[in-house]
Amino acid sequence: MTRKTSSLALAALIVLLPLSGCGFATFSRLSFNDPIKPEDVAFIQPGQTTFSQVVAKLGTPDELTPLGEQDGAVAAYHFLDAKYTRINYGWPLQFVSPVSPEMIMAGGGLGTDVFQVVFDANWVARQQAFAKHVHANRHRLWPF
Amino acid sequence: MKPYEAKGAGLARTMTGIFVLGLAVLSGCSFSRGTIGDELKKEDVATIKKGESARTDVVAKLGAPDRIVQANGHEILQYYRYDIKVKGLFLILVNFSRANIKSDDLYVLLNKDGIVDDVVFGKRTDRLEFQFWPFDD
Repeated sequence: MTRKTSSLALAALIVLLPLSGCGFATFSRLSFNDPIKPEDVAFIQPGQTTFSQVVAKLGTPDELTPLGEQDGAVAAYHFLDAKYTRINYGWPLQFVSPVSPEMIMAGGGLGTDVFQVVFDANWVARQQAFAKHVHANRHRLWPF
Repeated sequence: MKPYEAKGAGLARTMTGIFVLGLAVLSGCSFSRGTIGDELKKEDVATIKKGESARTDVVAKLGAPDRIVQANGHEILQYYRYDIKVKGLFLILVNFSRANIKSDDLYVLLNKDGIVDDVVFGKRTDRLEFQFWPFDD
């Protein structure tokens, strides 16, 4: 994940987490851009598909990184999905107890993917790959 | 009491009951929004002409780029903007919240003479929605 994407995720989490303050259970989710699936990129043929065709199908990349002055470039599409669950098992006790104890269990996962296409000096696709394909994003009711 | 009056009163009671129950269950909701960077307007981007506009024209119209990359003999000016929408639904027992982020990206490819060779613009933020349900795909 780039510094730019990390900063965004952090900013969004700062916005999101205060929303999960009270109640018995909280389910939160943070999505950055639409996920790209393998079937979405099946049209890319190494040596044939051009940069314009990739952009027309997938949209503009989040990042273009040069491989050298004349050696091509890498287009990267970032997307992530984070899920967070928080259960306060002490919350129901407020109805039977003079004090309201908190017994909070929380958990979640951050799934981040980067789809990369390597272009040659003529902006023709040379290679493509999902840099990461982590399916860590899930709601966890039990943190242990 | 006439039959239709009784039916009307029953409906009113049902509606009132649903309204009161709704108020009791729904304890609050929130909408938040944040942006990073200036909006990239389509009409501004349309003024950049391939083979005509120079680097100075681009910068005069859009300001300094967020990033400059050299690749394949091109100088590439990148402009980006992020839009964040957060919605929360707070019920008595359960809370749901969801934050969606999308980006707009503009790449202006300049040739060695500093003239625009290509413009690549993608706008995703116009499809950004407020959502609270965190379980769908």
